Amino acid sequence: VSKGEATRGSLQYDSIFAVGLLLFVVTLVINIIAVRIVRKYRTVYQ
Amino acid sequence: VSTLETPSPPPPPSATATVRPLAKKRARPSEQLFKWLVVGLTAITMAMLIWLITSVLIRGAGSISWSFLTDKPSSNPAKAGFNSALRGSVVLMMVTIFFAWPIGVAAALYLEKFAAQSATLTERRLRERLTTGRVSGLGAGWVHARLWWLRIRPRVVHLIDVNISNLAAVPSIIYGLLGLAIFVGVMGISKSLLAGGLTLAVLILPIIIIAAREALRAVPISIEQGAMALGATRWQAVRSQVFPAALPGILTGTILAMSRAIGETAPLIVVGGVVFSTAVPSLNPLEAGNEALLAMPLQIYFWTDQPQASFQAIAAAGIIVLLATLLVMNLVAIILRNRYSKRW
Repeated sequence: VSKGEATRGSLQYDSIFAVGLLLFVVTLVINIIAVRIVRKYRTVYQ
Repeated sequence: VSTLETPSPPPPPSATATVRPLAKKRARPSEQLFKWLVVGLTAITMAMLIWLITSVLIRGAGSISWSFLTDKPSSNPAKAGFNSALRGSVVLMMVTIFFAWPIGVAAALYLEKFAAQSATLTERRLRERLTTGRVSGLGAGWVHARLWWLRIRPRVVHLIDVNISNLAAVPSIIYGLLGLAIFVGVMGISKSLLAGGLTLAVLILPIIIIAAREALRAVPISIEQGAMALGATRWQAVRSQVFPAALPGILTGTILAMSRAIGETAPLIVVGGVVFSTAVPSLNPLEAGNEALLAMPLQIYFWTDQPQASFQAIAAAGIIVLLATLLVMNLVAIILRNRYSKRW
């Protein structure tokens, strides 16, 4: 969709950012869950 | 990440202490099955990799020549060369490393050696200063502010920790959007090698921070404590003992981060688009703001997008050049690690 063709301020341009934001939020949520799980089951040696 | 290993069961007590030869011990069927499953999956992965590389080699080997490396791009596939893309990638790497390395290493030093340290002593000293009444007015406010910071610091550091590990996992196209919005949109940098390099710098920043922290953590704490016991401040101990000892590890991590950056396509496409340009970028990184965004992965992407079969061949040749570059970078990283890694 965007090979540098989308012009600034257009609907296309904005929706790319909306989808990007969604992708970021999904990654963040998965990571937070992962950190929780790791912290819960981590065994500390020594 | 430490994994939990189940301890092997203790050997059964036997009255007669005869040792059974190991060769007679047979693996359980489920164990055997699992072993072959793992071996088979590894073989499938390796086979796919070999198939990919050989198909690229077969298609591209015919187009590789010295003039392919020195010619500029052309709409005629027989004349088209990889030189602009090579130069573009070199300048990109220079810009990226110039911005990402100092910031990344400084952040790692702070997070690992200063922010993570216990603040009990500083806290006690600050409280003493308050109770003895040696400070007043603005000075007391400053002391209170520092105490407050020491109290919330662990939480802030944890928040940063989570964010760094998240940023290292975020799809790279997000960084392209970030670069487009911040560097091109807000800061007004043209869609150039500079904008692309800055975007890649942000992309590898979390990777460099994680690698540098790992390298710093690998230096035994006794080195630092020894220096401090001899009267060095923490900064002196870190600067003259811990940092030099961790430097090979940090450099290895940096090279691996760069080899990640050199192959990135998606963020560059978002920032600069795929442009056809016969311009040959200058190798001077100070000119990066005026040069069209050209890089090896972009050129390969552009060629694979063309309908003619002869462009596919030079795209394969471009892939070979990119793979060779990556191989050399990783080789340097491995040599660096083997030569300078210390066992404490």
